[in-house]
Amino acid sequence: MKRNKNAGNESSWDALVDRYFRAETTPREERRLRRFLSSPAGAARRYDAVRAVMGYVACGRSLSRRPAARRRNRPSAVAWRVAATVCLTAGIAASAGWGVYRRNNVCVAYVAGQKVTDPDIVTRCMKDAFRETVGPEAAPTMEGQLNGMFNLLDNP
Amino acid sequence: MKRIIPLLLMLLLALPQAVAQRGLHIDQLFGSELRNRKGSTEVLVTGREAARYGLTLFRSLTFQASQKEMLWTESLVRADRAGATSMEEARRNARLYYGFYELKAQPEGKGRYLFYRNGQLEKGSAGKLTVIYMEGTATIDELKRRFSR
Repeated sequence: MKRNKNAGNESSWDALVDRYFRAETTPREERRLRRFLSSPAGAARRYDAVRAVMGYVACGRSLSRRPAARRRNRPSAVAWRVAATVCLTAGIAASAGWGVYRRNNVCVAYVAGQKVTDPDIVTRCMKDAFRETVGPEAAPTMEGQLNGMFNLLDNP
Repeated sequence: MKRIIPLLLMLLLALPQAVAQRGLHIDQLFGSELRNRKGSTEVLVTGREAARYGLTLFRSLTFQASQKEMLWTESLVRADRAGATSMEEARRNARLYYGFYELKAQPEGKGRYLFYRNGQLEKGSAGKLTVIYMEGTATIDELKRRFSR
């Protein structure tokens, strides 16, 4: 007949329960007591209190361990929100800054409706426009000034 | 988080525009269908490229104008030159041949210049109308020197 190691003298188990409540048990004894309380022999109602306390303690131990592990390996939801806000802000600021830079540095020409953005070509168009307007032939001539004066008299 | 995003969007909307509203009559010419015509050229330069000439803004339009358009363009230039602090102009056949105007400076001290030339008044010329608007710290003489290079 196989001996059930969790059975045995009830008084010895009662003594162990007493020692558990007085915090005098070793971890090994606690493990023995836990196995006994899980077995059919330890299912008696008079062990309900110690079973409840051991269960509560085990649960609390498990909960206190888990957050530390989570903290080590995974950032909290608040940290994720802060990181997302920072990234979003940085992205918006960068886009806005780039947009402002592009708007403040424009170099474009429309030649017969065709958009040209090559700075060399645009600069050439710019110089051509300026020189055509303020070239030597646009310098005031005697004829031009006289015409201007007479025209002014005729059309005040 | 719920408050930050609307605040950021409001900040974006409040960013200043690069090409400020100048309130000039010649603004009607720029960005119009005139630039799409054959032989037309419109130029817009700001920032780094304009700074090489002592300017913050260079905008010009050169186009072949009908008689009606020529009169209309001239009227725009006349309206804007009304506030000029200095001017140099010439006429031909009762029309404005060319004009160089220094307009009232902006509050921040930037000079403003309006140049106009009606090449269509030249004899036998298939000339065009050119209107140039510039803002910057360079004087007209400095501009002539820089553009002649």
